[in-house]
Amino acid sequence: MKVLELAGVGKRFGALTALSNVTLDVEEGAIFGIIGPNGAGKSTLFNLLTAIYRWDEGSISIGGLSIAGLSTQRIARLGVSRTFQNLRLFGNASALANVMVGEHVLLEANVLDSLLNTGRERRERTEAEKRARELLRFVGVSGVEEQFARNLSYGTQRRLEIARALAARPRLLLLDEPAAGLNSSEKHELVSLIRAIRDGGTTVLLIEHDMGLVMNLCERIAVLDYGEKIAEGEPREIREHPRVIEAYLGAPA
Amino acid sequence: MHEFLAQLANGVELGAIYALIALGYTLVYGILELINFAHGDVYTFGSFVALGIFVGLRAAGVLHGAGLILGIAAALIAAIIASALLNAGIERLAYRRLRKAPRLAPLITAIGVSFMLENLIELWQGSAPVPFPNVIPNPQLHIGALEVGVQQIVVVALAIVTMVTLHFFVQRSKLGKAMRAVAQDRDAASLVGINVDRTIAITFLIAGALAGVAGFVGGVSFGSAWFLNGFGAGLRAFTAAVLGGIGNIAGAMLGGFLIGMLESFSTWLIGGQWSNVAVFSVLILVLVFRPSGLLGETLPEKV
Repeated sequence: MKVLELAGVGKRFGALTALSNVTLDVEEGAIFGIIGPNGAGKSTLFNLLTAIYRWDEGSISIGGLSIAGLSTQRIARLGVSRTFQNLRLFGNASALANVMVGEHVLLEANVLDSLLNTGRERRERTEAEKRARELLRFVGVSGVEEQFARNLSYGTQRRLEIARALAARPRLLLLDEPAAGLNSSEKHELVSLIRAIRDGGTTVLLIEHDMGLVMNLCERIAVLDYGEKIAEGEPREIREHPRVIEAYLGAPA
Repeated sequence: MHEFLAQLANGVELGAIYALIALGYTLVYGILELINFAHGDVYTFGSFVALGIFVGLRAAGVLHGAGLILGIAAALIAAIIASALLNAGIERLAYRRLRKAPRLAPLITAIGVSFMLENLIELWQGSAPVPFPNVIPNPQLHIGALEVGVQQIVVVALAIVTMVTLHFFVQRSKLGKAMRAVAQDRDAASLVGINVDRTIAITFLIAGALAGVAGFVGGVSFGSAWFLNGFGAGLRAFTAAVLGGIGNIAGAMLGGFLIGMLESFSTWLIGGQWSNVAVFSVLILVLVFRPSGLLGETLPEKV
């Protein structure tokens, strides 16, 4: 079962071609990595998947359903969550509130429930809070539930953002450079966390610069260079792929 | 002493009305960073709707005994619904399509909508103040040296209950959390599946509903409605929101009560013609010395 299918996807910004003819399938339950030099189009790809940009050519499906024309919020409801390269937390809300907002799509209370504080609203809130606390424990953030997100350490904010993304129980989790700015022991914990997320039934698609981490973690890797997919395969194949070596180290003189 | 307490009671009553209106300014500012200058006129509209219901029910001869209680409830609910829908309608027609425009565009639009509403209400109700039917009894209570009408107590109680409800709604409920999320980061909010347009529409509905409560309460306690009421009341309520720290709910309430007191005591001590000077001097002083408002920094929670 394919969670994500891209066929011939292209995206231009004026004269600049950010992505061209990218075809990619991600199987359910995979940990899939996307690598490539700076400016290769990795983040643009994530922005297409979450309808922050519209693509110009090709098609994208999630769980077999085309997402052409869907809004960001509709795609989130299809089960796609993401984190950002430069964190996008709600800084002036508590860590707990950040995760609870992440559960938004799961809650059924309507405007009147919220205004009148009905039984359904209260019941859902209690459960949402319980789940949020569990999720914070799961990602290894405990004891700071009531602190404002912006006051937390960088590594904690990264985990918090993952917890918020997981709160919607996504089928596909997009992680944009989750290891950026982490020290080596934090990276180690991140690897086990991502494996645990996958074992919990969520497919993980991640962009990462840390080659060691990607090779160690991902079962399958696609390489982008100047907006084109130049290789795809298992870590071992990617490591030895001549075009990948060329893209990273330059062409032999 | 007697006069002091009477002015205090007046100030609290005025303050409750300003606080309700100020909450509307602050909610909308919190979520869109837009000063909705039409908000004062939504308050005027609420007053006239309540007035219309009272006039209609009195003509039908049902405003006595239990009918009076039901009539009051009907007028209040009608004012709430009408103002809420008007405010949401303004957002839908005038502000939504300007969401990505430079910030000056919706601001000027808001001023335009305000003039439009004032003129439409003038066409509808005329340019003279329209008296509220004197149907609600107002027995006076004596508490020590304080002499206060039951009506005043009810007005203040209604305002406080509304504000406490709002506070818990915004802080705790699912929708309140969605509102705060949209206020802080619209893109991130839509990424967690929040319908941003809908959340903004609901914010305008709630702000309008609060203006409706204020319109009812103001009409009943001042005893009349006038097409330009919302202009002055709106400006003072806006001052209250800035004084408390715009975007901050507790700040709007605090600012509302402070401006109410200021108006009441300046009228008593230096004369009614100077009360505007006192109120707007405070606005200038706040903008100069504490632009973020009284609670603007200690409680940075927007919306």
